[in-house]
Amino acid sequence: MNVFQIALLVGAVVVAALAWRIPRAIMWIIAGALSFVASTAYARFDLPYPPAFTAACDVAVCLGVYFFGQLRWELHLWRLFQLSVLVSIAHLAGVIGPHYAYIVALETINWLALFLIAGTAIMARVGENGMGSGRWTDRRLRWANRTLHEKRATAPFTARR
Amino acid sequence: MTPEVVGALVLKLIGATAGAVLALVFVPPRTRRGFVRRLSAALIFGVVFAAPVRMWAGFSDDAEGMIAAACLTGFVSWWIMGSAVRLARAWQGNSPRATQDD
Repeated sequence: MNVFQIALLVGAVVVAALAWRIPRAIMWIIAGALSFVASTAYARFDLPYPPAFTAACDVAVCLGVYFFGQLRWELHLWRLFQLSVLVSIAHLAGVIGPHYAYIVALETINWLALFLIAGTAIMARVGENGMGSGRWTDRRLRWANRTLHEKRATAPFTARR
Repeated sequence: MTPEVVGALVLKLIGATAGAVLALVFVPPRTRRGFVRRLSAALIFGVVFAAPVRMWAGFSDDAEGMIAAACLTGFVSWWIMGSAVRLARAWQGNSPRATQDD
């Protein structure tokens, strides 16, 4: 493993520690980490079409978030994994040419996903109680808290209506 | 059916299924009926139009090219089927069913 991959895994552990009281966040961190480890190992073994395998792993996580996600922040996570799948397909199609650009794009998306989960965990810890003064910053924080923790607007198509 | 025909059919089905799964990630349907409709369109059109799409898009003349063409066709068919149904419902009028059943 190189230094960037170790940094990402350490970041995932730190975010998991921050989000310890949110089981769903832990679940998605583990899913993302498994996808990352599997696709890295696949590429390391020099097996054919590593971007296709990476896309398949991300598709699995993406569908998991889509079908089992309940809150808005999970739908933001879904969008990030969609972007990750798109990047892998773009690399397969030759749109993203150099390999380093592809890796940088994937790493950026992984870090964005970790920041999203970390932000959600921090907002959950701050909670509504710590924002009662009515100042501008408090109003912004309250808005962010609700935006992240509200129920998702559209249920998956498998949900009973 | 000769083994070549069966082989080509399997490749097209693999590609069309991959296209449908990719489309499910990017353009999920709103109802189960919409899912069945889009999946059927992706599989049928993926198998039927994979060969012409391969020639049109300039994909290689091997298994990889066939799978890529069927995947592209399946993806586009999924998306077009959803858009066509939405368009037809909008044409009928804005009934509650019109906005949900795609």
